[in-house]
Amino acid sequence: MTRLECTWITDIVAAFAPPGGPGLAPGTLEVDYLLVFRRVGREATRRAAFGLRIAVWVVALSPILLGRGMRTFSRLRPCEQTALLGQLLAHRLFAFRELTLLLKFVAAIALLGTDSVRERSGYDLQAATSVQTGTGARHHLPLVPASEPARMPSEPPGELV
Amino acid sequence: MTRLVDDADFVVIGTGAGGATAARVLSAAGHSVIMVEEGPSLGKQARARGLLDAMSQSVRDFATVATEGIAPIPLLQGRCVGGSTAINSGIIWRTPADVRLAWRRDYGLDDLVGPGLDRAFDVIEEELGVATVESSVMGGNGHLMAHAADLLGLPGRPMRRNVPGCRGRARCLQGCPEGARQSMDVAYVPRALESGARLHTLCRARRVLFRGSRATGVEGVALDACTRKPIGKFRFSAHRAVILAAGAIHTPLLLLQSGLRRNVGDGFQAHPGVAVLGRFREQVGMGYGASQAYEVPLRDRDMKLESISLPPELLATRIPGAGATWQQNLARLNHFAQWCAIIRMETRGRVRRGLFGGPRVHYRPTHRDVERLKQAASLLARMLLTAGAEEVYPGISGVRSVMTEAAQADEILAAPLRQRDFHLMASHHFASAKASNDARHGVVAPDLGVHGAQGLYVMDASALPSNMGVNPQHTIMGVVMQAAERLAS
Ligand SMILES: Cc1cc2nc3c(=O)[nH]c(=O)nc-3n(C[C@H](O)[C@H](O)[C@H](O)COP(=O)(O)OP(=O)(O)OC[C@H]3O[C@@H](n4cnc5c(N)ncnc54)[C@H](O)[C@@H]3O)c2cc1C
Repeated sequence: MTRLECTWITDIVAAFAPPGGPGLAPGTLEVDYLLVFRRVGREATRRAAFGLRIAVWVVALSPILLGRGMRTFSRLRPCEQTALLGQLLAHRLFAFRELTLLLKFVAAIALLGTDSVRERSGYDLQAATSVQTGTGARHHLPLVPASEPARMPSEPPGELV
Repeated sequence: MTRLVDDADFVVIGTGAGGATAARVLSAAGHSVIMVEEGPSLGKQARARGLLDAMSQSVRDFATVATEGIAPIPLLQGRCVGGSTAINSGIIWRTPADVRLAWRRDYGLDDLVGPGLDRAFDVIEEELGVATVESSVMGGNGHLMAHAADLLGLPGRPMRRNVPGCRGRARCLQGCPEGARQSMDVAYVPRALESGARLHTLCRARRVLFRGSRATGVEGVALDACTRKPIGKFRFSAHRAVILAAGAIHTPLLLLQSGLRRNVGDGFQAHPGVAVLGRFREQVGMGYGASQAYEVPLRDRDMKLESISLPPELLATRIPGAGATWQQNLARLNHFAQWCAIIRMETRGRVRRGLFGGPRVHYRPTHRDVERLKQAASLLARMLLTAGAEEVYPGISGVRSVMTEAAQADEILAAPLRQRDFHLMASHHFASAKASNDARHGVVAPDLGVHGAQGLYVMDASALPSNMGVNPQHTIMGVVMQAAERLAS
């Protein structure tokens, strides 16, 4: 990969979840997007690795391809970058939306593959599930981090309230 | 380059559902057996939680092997000891009666799907500790689906799985950290080893060797554990038979590379799956519970609905948008439920050898298949909304990306959708080296021996003559168990 491509990759993939945004926002440099992109490319078939690279070019040049002036993705302001990704993901042209989705896949792997970010996502909490069961009772499961030993099936199920 | 040489009565290629079962039966009967596996052997400590490491270790090419064409369908396959059983959810289904009937009638497989199959199922279920998912490990995702099925009067039930002592870690895809799932690396490969079988990992078979029409062995390359590049060669001789069990994508490749062509790769089938996400006000807790726990089999509609808890990386990819809206949802991953439908598609494709030696899979869903997809996605969206989802994300291009009312699910039925509008994935593959008593239509005979060759057998999903509409591992194992028992005697 060229240095230009590496810059594009970092700019594009990071723009899915910019630092300082609401919700789950990574800190600056908390996530190594380029490393993850490289690894996914290495593990993938040749065809998919090629597709990933094409995706970078298409998104990088999308402002030009979409007639928004002679600027690459990297030249857009951060808010414009993120807005553009949203548009590409919902684009009526299959190629635009699928290639952008490939890069979103990389972004998701990088983000949630970073332990500190994953912890903040709350995914690993054993949810206090408030599920209406068939009998109308509310079924609660304990709110415990999944890293702690879970109950064995022989133990009683979560309390019914 | 090093050169590895070994010999045994039987050489088995692949250690998944088919290969491990064959090796277990043959070695228990006192035969010498060599198991050859392209992937590594992964103990439970080695299985990573993060998707990047986990998939690199155990999933072939990071799940990027896909069908040909403008809208490729990823074909998930395990590549490690245990094959796809080492990344699957352990769902166990006996072959449905209508499928057995069709295989007898259309392919003459009376012996394989007769009463002997039920006996094999009994043995396997006992050995793998098959049981119904207990309520305590159903998780919010499974419980919610049960609730939705209840409300809509759908015939749902907790799944039967081969995961005794499941603690609900929701990590079937990455590899059970408890070693509870009785995948082949945990169950039958160790049993075969105990009976004296030998296992060569990181060895990719390239072709079957013949003397005349008799298979005499296999040759291939040994791979480096990190780079997966060839570092040596191997040649394993088989005194009695070579058994191909490399899965429905790679077994036909091996046959083609070995000069066998007739019907090979033709008639490939699958169960592509479509998934729909819903976000609830309450926490659902997809990170806790059996990865797959509850199902709604709708065989008359060629679909089966399942709860499916995905690793957060995959879940996040499916949540629409970028930037603030996406990030806000990522901070609430715990509130998502995801259910999928596997479709028994009627279409048949073919597996061929590609430019660089890898597979080329031609597979195009028919109009009827796409209608099934629409019906399934619409029903899933309706179920999620009925169960109380605040927002449902069907993930289908051409329909609204966020649904908030049950009536909106009908838009999926009305929209003029094509296959490319869905995001599909197929992890059940079949019929690329079909069994049939008629050599004009099949690759292997009802004893799973390759037509026109001696000492060469196909014992994996490729030999099943069609898809079934239910999860295939049990059928593969049951069919192979019987064929291997006959071969052993
Ligand atoms: C993610 C996922 C979830 C699933 N969930 C379920 C489920 O819950 N229940 C169910 O019934 N089914 C499930 N399935 C399907 C089921 O696991 C497969 O149908 C079954 O394992 C196929 O068995 P097989 O023996 O044909 O191939 P596999 O189990 O895939 O084994 C093939 C083996 O051959 C090896 N191999 C391939 N080529 C070579 C070569 N050239 N040399 C040496 N070795 C080679 C591979 O590395 C692999 O280990 C799932 C599949 C996947 C991918």
